[in-house]
Amino acid sequence: MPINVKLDEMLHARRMTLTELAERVDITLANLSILKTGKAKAIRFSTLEAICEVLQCQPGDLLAYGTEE
Amino acid sequence: MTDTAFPAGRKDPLLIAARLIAVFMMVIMGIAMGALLIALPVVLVKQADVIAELAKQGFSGNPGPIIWAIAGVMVLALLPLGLIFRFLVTLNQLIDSVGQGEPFAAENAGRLSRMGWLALAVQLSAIPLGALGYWIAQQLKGMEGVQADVDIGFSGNGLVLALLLFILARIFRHGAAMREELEGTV
Repeated sequence: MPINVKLDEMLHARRMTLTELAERVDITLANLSILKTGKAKAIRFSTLEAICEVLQCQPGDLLAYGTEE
Repeated sequence: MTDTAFPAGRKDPLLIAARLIAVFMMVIMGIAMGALLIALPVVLVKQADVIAELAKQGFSGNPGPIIWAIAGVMVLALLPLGLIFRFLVTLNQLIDSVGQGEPFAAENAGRLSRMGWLALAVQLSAIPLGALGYWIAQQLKGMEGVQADVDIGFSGNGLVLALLLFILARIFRHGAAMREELEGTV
């Protein structure tokens, strides 16, 4: 998939675990895990908004097109 | 995904009624098939008794073809009964999957499509059965105390049912694809 999700790096930079983020954005750990591993087919604006709010970042910080990890 | 748009599940009265009716009809079909399987060899082995009974009722023609036609009707009747039984088994599986709250699955689209083909096959299998039954009725016409009416054959309702099932199969295939996409949405 040419869209890469950089959630892992963002969490690492903020020293936050996925479980902690799941609790703060009120999204199940399973769903966040799907997003983190790049298995998600789509992301809701509400999910993106909640993550950006907690991580204090822009959508572009989380998603990148065509860049290899 | 744990949330569902069909929370009623196994306690839904519609599903309970549908399951009961389907099982009841399966039992009826099973009994009918069993009765035919028992009656078929009896008619063939006891041909002399059947001929005697036909003569007693005032049948004056050649009884040989009538006996073979009766046996033929029994064999031909087994096919639609078996098809209806298979249809009902598939319907039960469909009801179960709706009860589990997962109706939009590719498996159900396949089931509906199969049911459509089965409904069509039932209609087609009724044509030779109806024709043979009609022939027997013609031969026995005018016999004292014998009322031979045949009302079996291709029915418009059956054709509409098959078409409806094919269209529903398509809707479910589309629904299953949409559900799959929804499951990948976070």
